[in-house]
Amino acid sequence: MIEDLLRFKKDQKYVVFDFETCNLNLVSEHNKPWQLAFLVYHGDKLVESNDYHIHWDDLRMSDGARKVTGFSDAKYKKLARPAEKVLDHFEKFLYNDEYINLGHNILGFDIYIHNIFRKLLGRPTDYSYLKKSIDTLSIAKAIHKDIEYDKELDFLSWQFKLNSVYERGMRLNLGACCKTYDVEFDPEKLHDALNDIQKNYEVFKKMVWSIKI
Amino acid sequence: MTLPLFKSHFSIGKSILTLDSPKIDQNADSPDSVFDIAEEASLDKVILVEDSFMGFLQARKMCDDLDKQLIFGLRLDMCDDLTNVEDPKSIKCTHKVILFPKNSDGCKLLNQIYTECKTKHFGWIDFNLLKKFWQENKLSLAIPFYDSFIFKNLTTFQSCFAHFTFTKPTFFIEDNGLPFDSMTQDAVNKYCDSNGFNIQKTQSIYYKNKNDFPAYLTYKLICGRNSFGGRELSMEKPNLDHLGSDQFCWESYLEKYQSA
Repeated sequence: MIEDLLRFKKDQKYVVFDFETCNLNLVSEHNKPWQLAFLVYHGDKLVESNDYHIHWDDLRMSDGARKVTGFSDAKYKKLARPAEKVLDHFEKFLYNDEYINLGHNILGFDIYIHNIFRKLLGRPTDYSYLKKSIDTLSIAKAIHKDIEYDKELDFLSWQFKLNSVYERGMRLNLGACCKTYDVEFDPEKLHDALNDIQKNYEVFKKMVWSIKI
Repeated sequence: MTLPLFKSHFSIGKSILTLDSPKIDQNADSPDSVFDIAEEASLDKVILVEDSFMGFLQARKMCDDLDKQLIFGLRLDMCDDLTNVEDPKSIKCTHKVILFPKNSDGCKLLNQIYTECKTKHFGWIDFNLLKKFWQENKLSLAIPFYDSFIFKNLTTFQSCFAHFTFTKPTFFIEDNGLPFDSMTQDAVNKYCDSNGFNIQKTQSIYYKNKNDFPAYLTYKLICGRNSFGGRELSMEKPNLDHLGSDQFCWESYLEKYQSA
């Protein structure tokens, strides 16, 4: 049914998110998420914009992460909020069936960081939200490789398949996607979490016209 | 009951557990052995699933010395069709199966199959070859949870087919807190339901405690020659398959299943 396509669902609710972390390890509890930005959309209407710095007593940032994310100790100390409150607020949307969760490379990174976040707060692993999540990197790969989505297949499995596709020279990071979809993008602001997800949503809204999902 | 499936460092790049005799001082700063764990937990059986035969004799000797039963399984690389394969890179639809010998004749047959695969088929086996060697009274077949044809069909664009006309395999199911575990469990349950195959809950164990994960990761990085898909790797950006969980260890097994 063509009406089922996301491009036509004008009232669909989305939560778009991105974590910034101390390094790229997917398991270590030393790799704490120190920033979480998420935007809440009802259709095209932005309902909430959240940019949290997350308080941890023992944050150990790698030099590489400091450089890439522009981490500032002073800013962090000033803005950091209690981790429990940040996660509660975020999960109110993440586990809400009305929302589709959206992010770039979330299947390869952010979902693991969210799990570390939960473990740090003594909460059990819970990936149940994945069935209603979209990784725009997987979608970008599908469009790039001209791989259609067969509605008979499990959507999460299809995205994992795409996640497993690696090719030398295939540049589909957020910056490259912005360029492809003609979304204005300032490379200086890459890894500024709030900026990333705003651009990510703009890219996604254009992507849905290139693929039937 | 959930069965612990140990793997040792003889499966290169897969485990940091050795097959050495149990430590006299458990706090000694030396590698952990499968038999440290087996002794500590008073296991009367040790299930070892290896990727090569190299550790078999040592495991057998250690089990004899410690009066434990060894259940040895060999995990083999399987593909759809080995006919006319001249270049191993051309092999498609790859997945894994585990062969368990039922008796000493089964061990000899398993060794024969292993030798045939390693010397004539670049280390691979296909269903035709397995069927040719198969003797139901000597071997049993198990399908691992990760890297099985079901797992590969779910997470990659391979379309692997399995032909179990010669035996009824047992399918292993695991739960290690990975994002694709639930999806894979559902698929295995569905496949086994419709084909009448048995399911066994298992837990793969590659190191002893959760805090050994950095050591395990270091070992994986060294064995992976510091690259994955051409990208440089380090402890802070390992990006290796299946390394999104620190539950492939004995401590995790105890937490999850000991009280159950």
